[in-house]
Amino acid sequence: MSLRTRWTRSAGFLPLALLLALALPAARAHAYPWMIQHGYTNCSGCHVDPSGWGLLTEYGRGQDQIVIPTLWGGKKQEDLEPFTGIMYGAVPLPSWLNVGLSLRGAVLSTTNSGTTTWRDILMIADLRAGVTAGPFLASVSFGYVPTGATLAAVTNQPRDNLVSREHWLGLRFDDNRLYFLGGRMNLPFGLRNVEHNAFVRSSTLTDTNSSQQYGGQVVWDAPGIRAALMGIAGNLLLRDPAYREYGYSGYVEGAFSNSFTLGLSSLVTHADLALAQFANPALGPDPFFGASNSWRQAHGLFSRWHVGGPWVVLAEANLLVQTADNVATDWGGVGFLQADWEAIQGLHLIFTGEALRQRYVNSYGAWFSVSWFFFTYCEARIDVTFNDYGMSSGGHLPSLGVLGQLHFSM
Amino acid sequence: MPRRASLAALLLVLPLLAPATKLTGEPSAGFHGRGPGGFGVDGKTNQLRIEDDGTTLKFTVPLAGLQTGIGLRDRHMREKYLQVDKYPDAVLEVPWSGVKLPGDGQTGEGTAPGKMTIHGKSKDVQVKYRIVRTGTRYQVTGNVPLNLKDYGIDVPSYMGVTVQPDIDTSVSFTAERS
Repeated sequence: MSLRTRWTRSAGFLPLALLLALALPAARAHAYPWMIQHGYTNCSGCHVDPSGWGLLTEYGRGQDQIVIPTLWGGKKQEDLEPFTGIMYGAVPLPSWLNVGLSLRGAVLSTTNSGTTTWRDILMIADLRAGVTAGPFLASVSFGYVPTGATLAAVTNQPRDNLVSREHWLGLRFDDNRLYFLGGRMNLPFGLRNVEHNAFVRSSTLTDTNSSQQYGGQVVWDAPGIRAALMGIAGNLLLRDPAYREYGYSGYVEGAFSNSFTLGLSSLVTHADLALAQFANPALGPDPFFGASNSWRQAHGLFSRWHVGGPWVVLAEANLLVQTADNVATDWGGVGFLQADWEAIQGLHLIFTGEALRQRYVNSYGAWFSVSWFFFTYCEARIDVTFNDYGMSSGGHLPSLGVLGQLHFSM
Repeated sequence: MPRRASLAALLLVLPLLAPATKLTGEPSAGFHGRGPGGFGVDGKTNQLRIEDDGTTLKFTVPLAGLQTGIGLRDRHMREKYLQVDKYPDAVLEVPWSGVKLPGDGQTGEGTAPGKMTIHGKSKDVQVKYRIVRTGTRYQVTGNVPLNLKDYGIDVPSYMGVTVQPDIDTSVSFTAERS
């Protein structure tokens, strides 16, 4: 059994899993579905990955300075002259070369059953580089994490691992509408939201923290519609091939205006042996973990809606189905609803509700978050998260988490 | 002399006899541009004037009020591309003879010839319109595709993203016509 999965069977499963579920880093270098507030329904203008997240293009670096941070000293957007290079313009870059850095540190307080624990975390320390030169695309990230993100670890230590969340090559045609990508990539599924430990991401294993897979992907990115279909060839960073998942993941999303989109996602994977899923850590030992002939499915809808002014609503709902030999089929579901209010430029007050049904047990979550991009490339964020985890025994386990983060990303 | 006075009086009275078209509610005018892939940009303004001399409808959009949602992009659009200090308005003239008004309670659609003037250059265009009539009230939407190069406007390009020269322009308003 690999180190990546062994820990889930440890005797201290519940507290450790709870802590990890709350503590795994929100690897949110750049993945802001609320950019629809500025009329952006597609992601490829700003991101090297046409489905969004991660490394920014030259245009994205410009937007990162114009529309993301709070502007001080009475400055307005029209007063700015963004630099095309990095490090506040100190390092010039040619238009075809993209380089990014993401550093995120956090302090987490978790309260379960009247007991509060504190932990400081280096959540992300990634260097990214990529190419957008005519039809050629490439993107690679490389970083260090002391804990977590084991599915993306290129080293095989219990802690202090080097990680590469993505590394892929691509070609694009037809005025950048048609893409062919191959390598380790984020799974195209649902909202590419930054809260990677939200139920919708953790229950579908489609988060941007470490759930990337190897495979080939076709992306269609055109006005009014975008779609992606990825053939999953497994996570080759998992050293035990029996746990690797094979299948597909994809979405199609229509933009009915520049302020409203509706999308459909679908994912089906098969593995010889099932991985554990951490969506509800209070469930106890996962009956699917290690079960043979595992099929995992998720199908659902997602939407982005710029309601008006500073309000954006993001929503996603998925049906979850999991089967394996000698384990009863699990029919479940997961939902996510988030309202983002940008009180002043750069300051976001975020209200999130979520629900999960897995292993025939219901769990609920409510988040209140303040995300402040207080200066170019700099973000401070606080998440207050209350989860009511359903337990197999019939009870519920309430859990309160307070996560404070400082993030430097360019 | 009396003949001259009569002619002057007739010229003064004629516009009053012409059917008056007056805007009611908030009009809007805008454009939609496309870039590489799914990139899009929309501009919008609520400033629209209509003049009706009985033979021609003249729509005037002050371009300084056009907003795309991002301040720096607006400034570049105003200063670098549209040059609104020199060419402050977009003007569309549509002869009434090309417009078919629907009957009361009906909806009419069609295409009318017109003349668009932007950036100091004029060009004949085809205006696709839709009119919903309720009594003397007309809800109108109109679209004109145009090419920026035809008007001597540089193709906008910024930080690696170049907008296609073909854009769609639109107006939407409600008017009372007596």
